[in-house]
Amino acid sequence: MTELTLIALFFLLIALGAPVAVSLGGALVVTSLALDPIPLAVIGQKIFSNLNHYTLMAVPFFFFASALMESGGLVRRLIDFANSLVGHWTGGLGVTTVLSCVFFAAISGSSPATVAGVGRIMYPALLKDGYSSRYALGALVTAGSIGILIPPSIPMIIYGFVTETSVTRLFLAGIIPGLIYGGGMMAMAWLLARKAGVPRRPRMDWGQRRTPIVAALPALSLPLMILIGIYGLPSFDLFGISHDGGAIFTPTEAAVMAMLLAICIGMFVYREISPAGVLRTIIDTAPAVGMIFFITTNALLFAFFITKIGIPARITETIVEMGLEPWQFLLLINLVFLIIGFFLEGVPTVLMFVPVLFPAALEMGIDPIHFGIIVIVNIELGLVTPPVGLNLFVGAGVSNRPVLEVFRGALPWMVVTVIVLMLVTFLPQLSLYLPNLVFG
Amino acid sequence: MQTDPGKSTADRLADLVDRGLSAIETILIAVLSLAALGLGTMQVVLRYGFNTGFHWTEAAFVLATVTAMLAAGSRAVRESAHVRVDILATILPNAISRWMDLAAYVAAFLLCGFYIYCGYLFVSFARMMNTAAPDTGIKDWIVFSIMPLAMTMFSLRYLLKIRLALLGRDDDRQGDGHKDQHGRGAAS
Repeated sequence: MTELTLIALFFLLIALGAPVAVSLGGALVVTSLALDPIPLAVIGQKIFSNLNHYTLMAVPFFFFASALMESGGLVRRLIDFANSLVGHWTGGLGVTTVLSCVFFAAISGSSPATVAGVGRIMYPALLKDGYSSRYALGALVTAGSIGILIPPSIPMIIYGFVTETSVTRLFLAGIIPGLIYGGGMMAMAWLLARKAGVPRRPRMDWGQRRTPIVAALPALSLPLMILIGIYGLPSFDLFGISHDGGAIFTPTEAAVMAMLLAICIGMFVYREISPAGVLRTIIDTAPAVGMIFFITTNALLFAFFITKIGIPARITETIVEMGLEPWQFLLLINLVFLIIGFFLEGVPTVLMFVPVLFPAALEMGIDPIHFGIIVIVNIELGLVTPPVGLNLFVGAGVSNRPVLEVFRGALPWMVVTVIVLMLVTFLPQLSLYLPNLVFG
Repeated sequence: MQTDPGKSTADRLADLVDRGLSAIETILIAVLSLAALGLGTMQVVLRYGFNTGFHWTEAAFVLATVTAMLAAGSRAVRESAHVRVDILATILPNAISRWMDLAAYVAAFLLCGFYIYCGYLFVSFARMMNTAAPDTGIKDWIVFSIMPLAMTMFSLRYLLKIRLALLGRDDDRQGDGHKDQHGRGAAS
């Protein structure tokens, strides 16, 4: 009865169009008050203490860093750099778009921010070079989803926070699947451009390439700094100089340093942003994080309640009783997340469904890191599937084209996403190799 | 401050509340985000540059960030940036979806009001216990007051939304979590 009331109220509020945070909190509060009370002071305590966690603080600073990269001119330099390397290939500008998304992803941690940051520059450039609108939109919205797979990644931070899995390991686990995804997208960019007969750009000589490469160096130092900071340099002992290795700072500190560096590079190197511009960017970006924080606290309260009434335990029990093999379980998980992805975006998906399904995954012997990467790739697919595909909306906003056209453009590129999903699902080593190599 | 003679007293009051809240949100977001940036940077520099640090830095950093982001959550109500699934609202006729919006805002308002009450109960309890955070020395009841205060801002924001919906002026119905084409409202 309690479970039914909880689920019915949640879907009623969702159907009414209440914010996800309110649907979670509202369903929980009414059910709890009516059927299975939690002391009110405990709710008062949890609603704040759910947010009072150091790991979660990485989210706003990675958000700020990516917004400051855009307003500080770092994104433009990264695109010029990518273009100087691969712009002359068949489908060169499409490949540039993918490569720019990979570079941007290595700093931003947000897929829609990647689509917007790269898209505002690349969409008009692609059209000007003779690419179709569908090609350009497909490349942007699907390659943009790489933002949450290549570290840093905001959904990974949330996943690590919810499941108490090491965020540092998760970040590392995303690198190989992210590079495979990027490579697949580049191949698709080449294939589709070849099929469409898009003219090639002339090759730049090294003299011409020098300017964009030099200009991009400060921007490229940002992802390098994040990676070195989080994972440290390998230990060495050379000519009397020794280093013990190990991490220099935590993912949260990395986020703070990324924001600081983005400000410094934008203000003092590229000189494209003023102190007032920095403040404006922070104030404009913060509501998105405020929204995440409000969902987080409600979702954790919801998770506390469903654990109290034993829902995850019963789901785990049912799955175990079904006698599924791990691969069958993972296929089922992919199907569930595919359906969820039609209606929800990444962070709410992680906050709402991971606490329910994670215990079952552990019971089935799935590695938490491997499961995390599967969830993240599923979210990438959800970002480009209507009716609620956030990248589609951002792509439509950037291009002023209908959402349906953006989706049609994305369809051939989604083949790569599905292939990567199958690869990470059935080849756990793709996710686990690097974390095991570095941390043992 | 100039007043618009065409506006009713209720409109002027609503404007005043909106502008007051906006000012508070802007100050909290800007000042506390920069303070958190400063604290986070100081922590890294002191630890790795000078092998020292203050034991209160991490707690103060978290407190500043959480407070700033709760103020940002209140701003997100104004900008309709809180993610929602609005498929039905886009399919149904305008008149019905307006009433659905109104019901959703009322639900949000009631929830925030309930959290204020729960928060108040815990703050009263913490005040009675007179405990303090070991890292910062700040009394727990002061720290835990942040949430009921933030929820008061949320409630006022939702009250303004309810008024606009009742008057048929709530035309800012995005709610899909993407605030603008820059993807700044985007979570994933």
